[in-house]
Amino acid sequence: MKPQAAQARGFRHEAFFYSGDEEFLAGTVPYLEEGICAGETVLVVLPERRMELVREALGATSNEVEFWQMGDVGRNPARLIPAWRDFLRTCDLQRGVRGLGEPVSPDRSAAEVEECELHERLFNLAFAKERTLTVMCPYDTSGLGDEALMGAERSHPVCAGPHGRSASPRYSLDSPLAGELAEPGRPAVTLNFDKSDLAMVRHLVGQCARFAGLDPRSNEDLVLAVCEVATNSIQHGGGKGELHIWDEDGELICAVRDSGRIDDPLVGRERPRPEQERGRGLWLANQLCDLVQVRSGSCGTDVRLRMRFDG
Amino acid sequence: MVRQHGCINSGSGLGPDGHACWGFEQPEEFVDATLEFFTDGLRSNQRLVYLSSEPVAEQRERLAPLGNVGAMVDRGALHLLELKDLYDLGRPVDPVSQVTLFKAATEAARADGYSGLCLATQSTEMVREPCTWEAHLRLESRADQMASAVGMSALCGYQRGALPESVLGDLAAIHPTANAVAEAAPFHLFGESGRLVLGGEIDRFSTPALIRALTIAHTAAETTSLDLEALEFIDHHGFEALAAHTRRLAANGGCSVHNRPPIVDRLCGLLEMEL
Repeated sequence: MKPQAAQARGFRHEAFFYSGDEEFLAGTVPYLEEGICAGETVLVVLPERRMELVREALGATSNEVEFWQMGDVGRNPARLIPAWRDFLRTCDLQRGVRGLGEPVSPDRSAAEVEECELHERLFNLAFAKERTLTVMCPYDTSGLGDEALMGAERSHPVCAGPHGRSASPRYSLDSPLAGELAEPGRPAVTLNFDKSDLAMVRHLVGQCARFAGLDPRSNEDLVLAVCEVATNSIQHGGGKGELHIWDEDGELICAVRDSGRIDDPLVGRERPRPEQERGRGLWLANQLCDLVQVRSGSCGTDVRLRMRFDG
Repeated sequence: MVRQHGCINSGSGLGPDGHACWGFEQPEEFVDATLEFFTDGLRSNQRLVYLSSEPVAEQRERLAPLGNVGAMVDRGALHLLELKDLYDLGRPVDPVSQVTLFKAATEAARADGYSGLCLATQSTEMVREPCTWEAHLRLESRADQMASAVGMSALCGYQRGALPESVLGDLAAIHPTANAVAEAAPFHLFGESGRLVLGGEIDRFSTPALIRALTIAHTAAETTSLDLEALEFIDHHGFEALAAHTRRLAANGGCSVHNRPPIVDRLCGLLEMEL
């Protein structure tokens, strides 16, 4: 059976609330099987244990599904949109594409959950024009807190559960980068910088990373990421910026603040094209760091680059 | 083992293949550095050559702290030369013939029993005119690549204010070492065993200087091997400039890149570009 409905469906993005493995499988497996039967390209992006559950439940048909581990591709959720974009380029869109993605899981930190919500909101913007893409995002109601679950309602136009689906009253696409990030919870090393201080910015980040015990590769990645973001501040954020560095809950955090404003909410989430002159700095930072947070508004821009001590 | 490179604060310790760009405010500052540089040269049995715009009599006075300058000159251990006797000042030099001259002078020193040549040049008068800058940059780059191969060391003095800061910065970048007065960009592009070595740090704001240095050095170079072993940092702006440069050279026989540090491999992978 090959329904031709794929062309007419448009872009669908819904949250699926479940509690426990049974509800998880009862909601996700029929959804995937429907896509497989319809001849759609099916991609599953889940934490390792859930991925194995789905693979086992699908049995032999799991061979027709592409599986990605969330920990590999979505450790920093800002890497998910470019990964999806790359995947869609490989698909026959006429056949339709169906996805299952669970970026928010109970083992994520509060900052990661916050960024997962932003990712889910931006996912709507990034793929709004897709004509044949359906994505379901499971949310574990027994493991996640209220804020994470409300975040799912804010970021998905439709929410579903074991007892049916409905439009989300909280859904909103307004100003996704607005808002403020929490102030450092611990004393920070601070440096005001301009063009002449960029080498000092790098050396200070490198020193703090060594002091915190980051491995050499993470250290080098963080130095490169901070340099790229600080360069953006100098070039596009008023010629200068502030750097704050502190460690908190097993992460080294570098905050780069300036007076500029970012207008493109998808900044850093689209793979730069070779001919493109701008847009590489934040994209690289997203590939290099464990987590990057960007908030921007009339008061300026605040970028947090986070690297875990354990690599 | 890469040749000594980076920022220096003394004329001593440069080694028998050292090549330094020495910026100064007052002529005495360059003389002080020369005395340190020549003291090393004497210790390693190099023939000393001092080249400046001052009359020879004045040069003798300036170098008096070295000892009996007259006797050193008489026995050929020290040559004192005025710039105007060698160059048509105000006009561009011919880099090829100049380097041939330095090479011959180094070989002559060796034939006379010295270990090599130790050349201090107060070059300010050679670069007062804008029309001289490009040829002079090529001369410095070509001489550097030759010096590292034949056993010549050189200390090149430039008076700050006599030429634009950007030109002084470009000169510093194509010497393996420079003092803080001259140094503008935190990188150096220099010769080593038939290769060009890029050392130091490159970011958005030093990338234009890198492009100029690569253009000068590869125009001057017979070799198109680029060694990145001493590269300590490069951001995507510098990396893309480097990639564009190697692509341009690919049209003329190619440029082989050696000893790529991890950060370069990282950028190649993330930007899906090759060097």
